[in-house]
Amino acid sequence: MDHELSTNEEYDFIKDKCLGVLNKVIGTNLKMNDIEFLFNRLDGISNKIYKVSVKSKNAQIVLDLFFKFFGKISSENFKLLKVYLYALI
Amino acid sequence: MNNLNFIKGIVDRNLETYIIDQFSERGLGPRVYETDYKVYRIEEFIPDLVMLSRENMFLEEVLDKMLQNFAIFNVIGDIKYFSDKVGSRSKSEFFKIMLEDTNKLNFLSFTVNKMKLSANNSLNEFKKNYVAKLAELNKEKDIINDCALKDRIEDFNRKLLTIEFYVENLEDIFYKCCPDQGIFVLSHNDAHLINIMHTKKMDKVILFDHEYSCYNFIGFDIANYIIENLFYLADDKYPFYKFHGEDLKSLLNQDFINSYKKFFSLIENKYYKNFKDYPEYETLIETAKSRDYLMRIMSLSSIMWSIFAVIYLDFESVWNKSAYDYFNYSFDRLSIYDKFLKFELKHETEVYKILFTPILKIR
Repeated sequence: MDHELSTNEEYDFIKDKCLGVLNKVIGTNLKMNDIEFLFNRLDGISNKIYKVSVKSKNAQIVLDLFFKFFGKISSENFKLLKVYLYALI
Repeated sequence: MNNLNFIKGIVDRNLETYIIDQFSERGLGPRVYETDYKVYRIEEFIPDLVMLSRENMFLEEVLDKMLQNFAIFNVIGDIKYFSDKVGSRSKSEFFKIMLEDTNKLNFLSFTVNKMKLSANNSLNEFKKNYVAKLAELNKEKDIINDCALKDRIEDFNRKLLTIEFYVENLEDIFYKCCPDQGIFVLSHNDAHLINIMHTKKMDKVILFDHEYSCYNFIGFDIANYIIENLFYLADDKYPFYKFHGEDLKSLLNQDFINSYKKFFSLIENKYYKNFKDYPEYETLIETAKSRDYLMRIMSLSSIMWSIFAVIYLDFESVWNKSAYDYFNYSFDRLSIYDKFLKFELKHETEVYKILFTPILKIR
């Protein structure tokens, strides 16, 4: 599934948070320039949900994350697309 | 859309995160890497999961793991904190425990009164738009001689009146369905097909989406799971769900009742220590295993989720068939009680006599 991000602000927010998690989980000290992000987005009924793949530019470190904004309504698609996007992307 | 603000207000992200952590610690769900409890949450991504299918819901290897999930839900943390023996309390007090926000114990910070109020507001808005649509159609078309449209309106009216009746009488019907006694435990409440995923080998079955978790009668989750066997909530075309209404009467077949009883065997055999401090535990569990109790909590599931669907109603999308059809979903969910369980429970009462007095005429 390929979706556009809503705003640059949101995009930067997710990148910042996911980089922090990557460094914490893997025990690295990578900077924003050291990594690449791959975003997939689906909208749930009351949440904005992303699968975010974070990887170092040499691709030696890869971490898949699941990022969920609470309470944001951004889609007219009211199908109950929630956490089961695990299967869809 | 306003009603979604209501939903937003009832979710306790602290408790939701706590639940995810508890399952993660047991290797039964994703880790929460980070959250601010207000705006976002970052979770571990679990690869290679597939959605549970209707056909697989009651396979032994799936069912056993689901029962385990439900039991863990019921006992995580300090059981004295997350559960309460109801004993001889009045039914109105049941709802204080079940639905009111008390000391951060519940996700659902609403009472049955608040739920009714919200459903009423939503339904009134829906009706207002419907009446306006009828007026518009009357100008444009000869409705009486347009059979398809006439049928659609009659079907719409019939369903609307039924839903309206249940919203109007929500408290009475809820209390009527409520078991007289029970044990309240933290429950998922929303264990339907699209909130459950498993590995291809079925060695792990993961229950997601804890947003509607709150105290509920013990056994509610497996009773609700049996009901969910009739629904698939993520179909790709209108009405965007499937309902196997033809199987309504199968809800109380012996296989399902055995599955229900199996849950209590698990509680008694594996989680006895979590309940043993309550002197009436054995009596209450025996009561909870009964067919009458099962029918009552199935009724609560039917009505509760029907009313939630009312809260989500949006007339334009329903009429234009452009999005998830909460109107028909509400009616279908209600039909579990209205077309089946109320007769089993001998609830065909005087209140139904006032039903079907047409309030919305075609002309």
